[in-house]
Amino acid sequence: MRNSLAARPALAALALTTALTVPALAMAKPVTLTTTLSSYGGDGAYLALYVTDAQGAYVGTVWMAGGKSKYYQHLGGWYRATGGNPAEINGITGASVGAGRTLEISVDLADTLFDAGYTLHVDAAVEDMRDSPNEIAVPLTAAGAGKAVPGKRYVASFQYDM
Amino acid sequence: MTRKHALTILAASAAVAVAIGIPALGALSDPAERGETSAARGPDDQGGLWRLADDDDDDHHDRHHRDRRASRDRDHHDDCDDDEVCARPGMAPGMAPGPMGTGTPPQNKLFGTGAPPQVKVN
Repeated sequence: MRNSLAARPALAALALTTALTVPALAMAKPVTLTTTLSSYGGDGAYLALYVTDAQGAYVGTVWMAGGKSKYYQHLGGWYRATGGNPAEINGITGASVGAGRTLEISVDLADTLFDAGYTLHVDAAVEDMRDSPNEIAVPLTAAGAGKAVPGKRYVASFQYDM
Repeated sequence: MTRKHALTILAASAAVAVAIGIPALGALSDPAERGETSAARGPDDQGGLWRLADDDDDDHHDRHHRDRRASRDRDHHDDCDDDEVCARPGMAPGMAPGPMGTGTPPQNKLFGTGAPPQVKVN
């Protein structure tokens, strides 16, 4: 009897944490972001993939391709939004992407990002070539999934699949 | 006589300072020499070229050999030329990111489960 009484708070805590965790898991969906670079004839491209809300305010970074922080200022849109704050890309940074190569990112994104006015941006920069902020800007919508869009300078195509 | 001598030395040192200072000021007036980028110049300027930040002295091998070596040594520490995201001077403790790669993503509204992204390049 005493044991069952002692177990009650623990069970209540377990139920509470489960109730809080399960909806969070259910509110995310796996998304694949595919960025194919054109054969622009230069070194590897730095790419910043980030999201802004309906008002154009920065929400967060999905991925940073390129590891030398001194070059992040060339990713103009991302840099202006973040001030180059490394905390924004901690754990989500990889190597730059070579010309003609395809970067494929699989990530669980929050459901609330879709059909709610959010936009996914890709900034691009290549050594000794022109910077290309906002190389890609696509609204995050369920209808837009699977549809490839061309970039302005370095990205041949970009699409997200759910 | 001593006063005249002092004035001569003053004039000579002023001439040397001007001779050194004018070219230095001229170099500073060129944005490219200062390493400015499109992001630094303005939000809508997309004409910026990515220039290496640490090649200042490469065209003057004979004149500035010693300076270049010192500069390279300094750049090696300042710019962290390895393929890593680097800490910067003045960065608050704990702000420096970990090594390149995937880990726990930042806590923002994007990552639903907090699982690290899976990335591959084909």
